[in-house]
Amino acid sequence: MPSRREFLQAGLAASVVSVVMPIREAAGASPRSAAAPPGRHPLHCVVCDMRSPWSTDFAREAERLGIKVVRTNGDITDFWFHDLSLRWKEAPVAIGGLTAPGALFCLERLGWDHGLRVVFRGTHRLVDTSRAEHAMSGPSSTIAAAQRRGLGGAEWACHVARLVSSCAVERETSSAPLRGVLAGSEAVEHDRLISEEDALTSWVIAPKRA
Amino acid sequence: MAIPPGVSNRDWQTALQQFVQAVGESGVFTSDEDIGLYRDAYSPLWEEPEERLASAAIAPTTTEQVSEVVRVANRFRIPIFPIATGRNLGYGGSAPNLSGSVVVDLKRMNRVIEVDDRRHFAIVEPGVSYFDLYRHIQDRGLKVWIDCPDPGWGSPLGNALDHGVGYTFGAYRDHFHSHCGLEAVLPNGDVIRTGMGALPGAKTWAEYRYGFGPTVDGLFAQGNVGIVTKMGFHLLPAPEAYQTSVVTVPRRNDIVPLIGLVNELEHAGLIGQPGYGSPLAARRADLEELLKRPGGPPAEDLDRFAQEQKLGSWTCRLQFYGAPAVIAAHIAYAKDRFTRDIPGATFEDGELLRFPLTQEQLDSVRKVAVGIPNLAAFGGRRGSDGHLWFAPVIPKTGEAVLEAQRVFMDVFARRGGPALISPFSMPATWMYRAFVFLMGFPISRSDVTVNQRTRETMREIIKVAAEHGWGEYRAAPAFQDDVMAAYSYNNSALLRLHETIKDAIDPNGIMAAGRSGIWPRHLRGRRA
Ligand SMILES: Cc1cc2nc3c(=O)[nH]c(=O)nc-3n(C[C@H](O)[C@H](O)[C@H](O)COP(=O)(O)OP(=O)(O)OC[C@H]3O[C@@H](n4cnc5c(N)ncnc54)[C@H](O)[C@@H]3O)c2cc1C
Repeated sequence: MPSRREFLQAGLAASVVSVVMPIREAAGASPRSAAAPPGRHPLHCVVCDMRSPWSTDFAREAERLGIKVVRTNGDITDFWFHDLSLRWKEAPVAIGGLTAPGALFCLERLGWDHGLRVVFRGTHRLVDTSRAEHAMSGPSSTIAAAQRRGLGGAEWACHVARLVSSCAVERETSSAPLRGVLAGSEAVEHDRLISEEDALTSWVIAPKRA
Repeated sequence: MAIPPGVSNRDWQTALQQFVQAVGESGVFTSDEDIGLYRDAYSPLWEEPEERLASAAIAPTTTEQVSEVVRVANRFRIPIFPIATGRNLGYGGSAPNLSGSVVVDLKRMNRVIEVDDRRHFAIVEPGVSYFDLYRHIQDRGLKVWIDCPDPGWGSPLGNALDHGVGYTFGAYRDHFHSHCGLEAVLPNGDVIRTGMGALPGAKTWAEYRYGFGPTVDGLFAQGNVGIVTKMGFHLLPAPEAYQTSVVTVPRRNDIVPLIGLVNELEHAGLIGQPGYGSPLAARRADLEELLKRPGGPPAEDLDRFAQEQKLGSWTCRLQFYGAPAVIAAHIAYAKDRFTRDIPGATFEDGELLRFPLTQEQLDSVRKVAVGIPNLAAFGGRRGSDGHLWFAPVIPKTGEAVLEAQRVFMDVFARRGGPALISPFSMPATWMYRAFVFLMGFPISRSDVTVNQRTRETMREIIKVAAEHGWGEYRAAPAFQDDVMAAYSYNNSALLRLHETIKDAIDPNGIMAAGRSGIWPRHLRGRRA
């Protein structure tokens, strides 16, 4: 049986042809896109949520790694309408992000229609000013890398950017809870706490493997 | 892979082969992973044995293919369930009423057939989303607006077929009402066109809805007698400008003249969708003691608090569309009427926005109010497992709103737990001639007891609403029997008529069994 991706791609070829519009400057997209090493999902871009300082850290690190960053205020409409929907009509390119759950909820479903799936998913919250809790599932080697490196320290969102940007193309998956201690001087301000309800989510959406 | 109920394994395998012949291999989905995508993300039965699940999905690209798929299904008596874009979140998602049904996924039928900006209509296929239609219009610089629901990823056709609603002007907001003509495949595979479309070579299919003779379009909305493959819609001519004015009234009982006046403005075509609110809603913590009073807080006490705090009791955002001079005249007239009828009414005018909007204006405007599809509804910080909509229709009066508040608050008080309604809750105003007292009940993916509780409350509140003459306009599959049961006038004569029609048009009962509580004869005893 063919995959849902194939069927939807076939259907999309018949859809209305539209003019490709540039991503708006206001969306803060940088022009570069990362070339990933073999065995890694090359990311078209990563999405961040400017309302969260952690997501902003994530974006900065992704940019440093040469990945195009799409800055949102939580609403992915502009990114979807002016960029991704057009891109995915051409090819199911992978994307990543550290966002509120709603953005992932939308992008995941929109991705299904183009033959993409969430291949890496993490949730992140800060239970108090010195303790972070993370849970991740995804390609085994990516999860193993997260476990080896740990997600301790106030730099955890940067580590997540590195994990997302190097997410492995791999069938085998695993999951792991991780705790991160933000030691002494790293303890964060109250406005950086993330409650259970506000948990951030990191993710990679990539073409489904046949 | 599940097998549809009542179908032998041999027939199922043969039918699958014939489905493949009808739509090609790339249009038939049977793997668990693919079928899993059709689960209702907001299911109130998540992971429970009664969760509604599909057995397979089929994705045709043309009406001819749909017709062939239906013929195969009819031959083997395989239950099928059509979806357009399948994003009916809160009302069932893309899952069928009857577990084991084959979802007929029409996303690949995504052609915009026609948009006319001189006669102001569009004709679309089911898989065209609001985003797609908007892009089609923008790319061609056409001078028409669409009216969209909050999430722009849905389908004008799918949304209209569940009586969906939007945010701009008058009857355009009632999406089924604004449809004009449709094409549908009947359970025997026959293709019909309604209205003027029944006339070969018709020139006014999407303009004059009745054609000649009885109209049957309504049978296809929330119905189960066919698969709609094309639909026409009347579109709003793009207005020159848009402006809001928020009227605030000081006293609790001003809600009665406020709604009365807004109705007058709206039904006379002077304003678009009104949006009600209460500034006191944000001050509930300060009003805790008052709110605990048996029978609710006395109006005078709330008025005193509002006055001390220099807050109004109620607000209504009025939306004006048209040429700037017309907007100015309508705002002046509205202000005059409110000032005369409601002492102390005040106004706050928004900026006059002329189209096309600047980027800055676009960033700040409420997009659905100006016909721009978007996904902002999912842009909150909080994650949630979803919600289940309870959507009772109540009269468009202040008295009805206050009564609905009391009645529904009583239900929550009796059941304990958090109340979704307060003395400041206002109804949704999508419908042109009635209010919807919308509530979103919580759903959980991890805690079955939350869903059980939600289901119990839903069942009770549907009954309580019916006792007060309020029925729901729409509901998730798990509650469609309950809602239909409430529409029981004359020993459920309407349901009996639906069943008679169902049996006549779909004798094998293959089409969307159970949709709106209408079951085919062979399943009538066992209702979901
Ligand atoms: C946060 C949020 C906000 C929302 N706001 C709104 C809102 O403002 N207004 C609103 O109306 N809804 C709203 N909804 C509900 C829902 O998301 C929309 O109505 C959505 O447009 C429906 O999904 P769809 O368009 O993909 O239709 P579908 O899911 O494709 O179709 C809906 C139903 O119509 C029937 N149907 C579909 N296609 C066919 C066909 N071809 N032939 C026969 N029957 C068919 C089926 O029974 C199907 O289940 C909201 C939901 C959420 C979660």
